[in-house]
Amino acid sequence: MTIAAKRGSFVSENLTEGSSDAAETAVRHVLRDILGLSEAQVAGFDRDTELFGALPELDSMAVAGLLTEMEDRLGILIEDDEVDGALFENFGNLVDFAKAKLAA
Amino acid sequence: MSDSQRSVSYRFDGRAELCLRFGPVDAPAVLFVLPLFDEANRLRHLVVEAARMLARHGIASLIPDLPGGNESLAPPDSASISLWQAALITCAQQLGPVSHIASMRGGCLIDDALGDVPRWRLAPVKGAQLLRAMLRTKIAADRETGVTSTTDALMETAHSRGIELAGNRLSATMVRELNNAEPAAQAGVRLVRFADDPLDADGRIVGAPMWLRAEPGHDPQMARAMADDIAAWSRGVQIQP
Repeated sequence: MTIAAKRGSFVSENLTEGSSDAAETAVRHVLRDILGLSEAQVAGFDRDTELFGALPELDSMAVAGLLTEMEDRLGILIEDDEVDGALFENFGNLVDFAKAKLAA
Repeated sequence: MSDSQRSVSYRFDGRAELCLRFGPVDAPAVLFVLPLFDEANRLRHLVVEAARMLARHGIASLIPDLPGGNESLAPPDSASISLWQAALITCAQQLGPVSHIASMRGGCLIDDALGDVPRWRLAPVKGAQLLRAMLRTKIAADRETGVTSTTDALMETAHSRGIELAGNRLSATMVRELNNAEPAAQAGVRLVRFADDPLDADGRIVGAPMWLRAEPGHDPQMARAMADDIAAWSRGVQIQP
């Protein structure tokens, strides 16, 4: 994992459509399940939708659960040092991170 | 048919451990094994409602406290996977007969305590995954107080002298057993998952993983779906006590 990936600011041109769709769907569903949001609410998330700080349900405990669920559903392993504030800044960063982990 | 709920108890390790009993008094019971640790608290309401609905199907059920959890007076750091399995055996001996087991999440790690009793499992999870989520909350909490901790360092401490994670005092024995625990793969298991879960399953129910939520909730539709599925399954493979 590169520094760029950690910051969630990279692009994901080298990914196949299939895996990137799977990543985005999985992230949407994990947020829905962890935060108790409706399907319609998470369907309305776009890349700029703010997460940490904007969603009161997303506290540091919820973040711990969210990371573990993402690992489980995507079959990836997330290291301690890959997790920082930028990762949860917005929906786009989190999806990019998941896509990069899947491609790695 | 009765859906009456009664608080009973079983004696384990010199203490009375609470157990809720539902349904017909003299019938063999479905033993509910709740998820482990905090996930149990977020699912208790749902499982109690499912047990009530099961009683309306004419099926008795038990929801025991595990030593160190819920109302139990046993020291939390005395708990371990093997101790909980022993507690389930004792509970079944004293309050059974138990004809079937219905377990969820981490409960599936201890549901083989009664041997080959048929089991209904909802979204089983590996022990290492539960441990990892708890370690993450510890790392996050440490970070908020300016301490940088790592999974590796915390696990080293945990293996040598136990650790408190997410409000749970885990002994070194618990850490070792939990880290190695996986749902026992045996015959006689009905594996149930949610409709939108891509993983393989024997059956699908409507609902959401309420054990992930920050606050305990309730979903009557999911409770009914669980009860209906357990009722149909248990009638299909009814085992004489």
